[in-house]
Amino acid sequence: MSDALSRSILVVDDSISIRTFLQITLTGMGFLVYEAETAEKGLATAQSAPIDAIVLDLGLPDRDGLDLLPDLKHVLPEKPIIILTVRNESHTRQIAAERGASAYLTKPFQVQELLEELGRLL
Amino acid sequence: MDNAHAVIDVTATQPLIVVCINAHPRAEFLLRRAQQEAMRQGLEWAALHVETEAYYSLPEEQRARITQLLNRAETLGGKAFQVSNTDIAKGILAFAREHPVRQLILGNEKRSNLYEIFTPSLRNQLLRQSPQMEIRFIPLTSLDRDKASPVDDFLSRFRLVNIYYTAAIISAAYLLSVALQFMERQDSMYVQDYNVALIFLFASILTSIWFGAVLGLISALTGFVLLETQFIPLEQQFRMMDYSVLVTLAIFCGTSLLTAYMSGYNREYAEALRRRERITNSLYRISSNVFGSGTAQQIVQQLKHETQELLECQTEYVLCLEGSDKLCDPCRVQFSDRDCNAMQDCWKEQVETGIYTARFPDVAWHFQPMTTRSQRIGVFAISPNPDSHFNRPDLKLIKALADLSALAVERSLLSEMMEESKIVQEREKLRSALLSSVSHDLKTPLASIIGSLSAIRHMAASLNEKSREMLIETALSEAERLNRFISNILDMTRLEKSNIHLHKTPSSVREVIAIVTKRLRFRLDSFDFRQHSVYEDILVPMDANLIGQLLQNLLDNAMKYAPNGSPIIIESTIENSSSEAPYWVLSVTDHGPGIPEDRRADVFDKYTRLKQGDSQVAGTGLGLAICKAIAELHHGTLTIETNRNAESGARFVLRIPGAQPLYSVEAQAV
Repeated sequence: MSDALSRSILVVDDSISIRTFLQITLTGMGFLVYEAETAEKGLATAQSAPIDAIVLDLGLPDRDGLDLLPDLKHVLPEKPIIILTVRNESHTRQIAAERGASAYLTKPFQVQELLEELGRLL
Repeated sequence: MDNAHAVIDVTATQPLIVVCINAHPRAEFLLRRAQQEAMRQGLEWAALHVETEAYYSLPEEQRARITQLLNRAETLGGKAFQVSNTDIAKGILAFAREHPVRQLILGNEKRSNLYEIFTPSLRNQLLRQSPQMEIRFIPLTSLDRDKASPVDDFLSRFRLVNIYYTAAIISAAYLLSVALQFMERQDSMYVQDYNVALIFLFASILTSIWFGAVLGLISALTGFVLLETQFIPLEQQFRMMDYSVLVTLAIFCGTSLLTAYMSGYNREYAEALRRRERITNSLYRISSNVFGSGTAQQIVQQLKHETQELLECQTEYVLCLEGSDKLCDPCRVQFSDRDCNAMQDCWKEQVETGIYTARFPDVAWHFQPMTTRSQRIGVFAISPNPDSHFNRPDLKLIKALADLSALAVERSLLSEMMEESKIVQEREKLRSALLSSVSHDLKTPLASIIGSLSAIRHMAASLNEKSREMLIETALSEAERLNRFISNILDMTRLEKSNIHLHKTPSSVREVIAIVTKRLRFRLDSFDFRQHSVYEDILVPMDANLIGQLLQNLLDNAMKYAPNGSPIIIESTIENSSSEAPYWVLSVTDHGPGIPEDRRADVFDKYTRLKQGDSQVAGTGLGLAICKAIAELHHGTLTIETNRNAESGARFVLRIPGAQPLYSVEAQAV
């Protein structure tokens, strides 16, 4: 993970504890972490900040993550988006994949799984 | 000749032997011949009745016989058709255009000319238009057509009073004639014999119209005799050689009979039309009423009412037991054992039974199976009333009523089933929403816990002391949240089952608030938390643990939605109302987004959050439902009010009766 340095990640999740723990963990791994608790803020950050990868929750308070996915993909077409959600239905996975998600992790998850995905995609 | 082509085309596919029937007593013989012929040729066969205008002036037994014959045809394995047309031949031709008729069987009665309508030219017409159709005439001999004779007609309509009326009419004519004659004698006017004759003729016409042929004829003869004896000069009376006398007699009798016949025919025709209109109206009313909404039971009640009114007799519906092929227990209407047997026979064999049929003709009820295309619905029972208008069975009508009723009941059964399946679907939806919401609310804190702990374990090297500390704190607080969540679910379950044990003792409000705020102090620290109390303390009969939990849920809710640093205010006071015991009033006010008025009733519904899926602030959504349940256990209320002191925010108000103030103090801030 030596190349993690200077890479920036946007975490879009309404749960403050998830954001906190990802902030601590990913910062510890040398990433620069941006946080957003709503879809609106997530999209705004993606447009303004230099983002290398996005970790996206689906159950957001203002908009469904699946609907946000194409907009994020439109703003950052080349950047990987990792879905991090409690939803585990196959059709949700399929829709996410169709809309450009690079990886799909279900909560709860081990931090290594996320780091491995990030390592693979970046 | 398009029609002929049509006949040929269809004949090529499904040839049919058709037998024409009417109310002839031996018409069943024709049915059997048709059946034999069909068997011999290996073809299908059908009975056809052409309903012309004459049909409506037939006596009811004869119409019933036609219906029976058509049913009989069906039991013999044929089909039954009834078509309406202006005359029989046209009806047959119209039928032949639509059906592949190979052979037509007609009864031929020489003596009383049963099918007099089939004159040779008409037969030729039939043959010319349908060259493929073979026409056979079966002679029907030894026939007693039971057309009512004038004597029968007289007897059936015999009323003693009619004779008086007839006598009165003749007397009036006589007096009028005498008056005319008297005037003639006074030389005031000249009256011819034929004037008097016309007066008597008029009297006999009136009698014929009103009282039928027999009294009409009596009236005519009496008139004739009076004319000849009283008003004709003696030397001219009854001169048999005088043709004028014979002509007068013939005119009297002929006019009388013709009038009686015409008026009788018109009367019957008008009566038939009236009956038909009545039936049509009733059927229309039944179909428009019963196809409304309602349960099967309501529909049956309505049908029963309508059919009883129409048939003027007792009717009953015995429906099929749900989910079985047996009839409901019909004992409630006191059918006799034989009635029940007839009904069961009707149900099992799906044929009409009971009175007016060949099966169980000696029972008091008539039973018609109620069947639709897709299922058997039940049995329609009629107990004919000897006094009713329908004393003789109009089986066709009864069959139509049974079919209509079957459709109506089936429709309501289907709509009930749809309603049920909708409810099941809705419940299933709610269940899966509950499941997905619970799994979301369980897994979100678990995700933080597992994530944080896995980070501490596997990334110890890259985490500094502070980060580790924060991760542990996150895991811990999420574990506590999970615990609260699970407790909430358990509480709700217990409250729902009402097996929660209430320990109601006069408890100190101050103490309850203190315990809760102490428990939540770390989280409350990030808000501008204030507490106002009008009294030093209040004693309220309550379960302190449950009320404590209620307050905690309200505060949890406020902290969840209100922005950090905004005020959260607890107020405690007593509300005095003259009629009831004083209420302890506790309110929790926040400056969060608030709750729109139209959604205030919903937030206490435990499914409200569930319906919104996982796109929500963390929590079960059960908290407020639990609060309301606790308030109600204390005979109190929990409501939402508008935050009067701020532009936004929610204000939850709890009211519990039986408050007892200790002593008043100035509002204090903690």
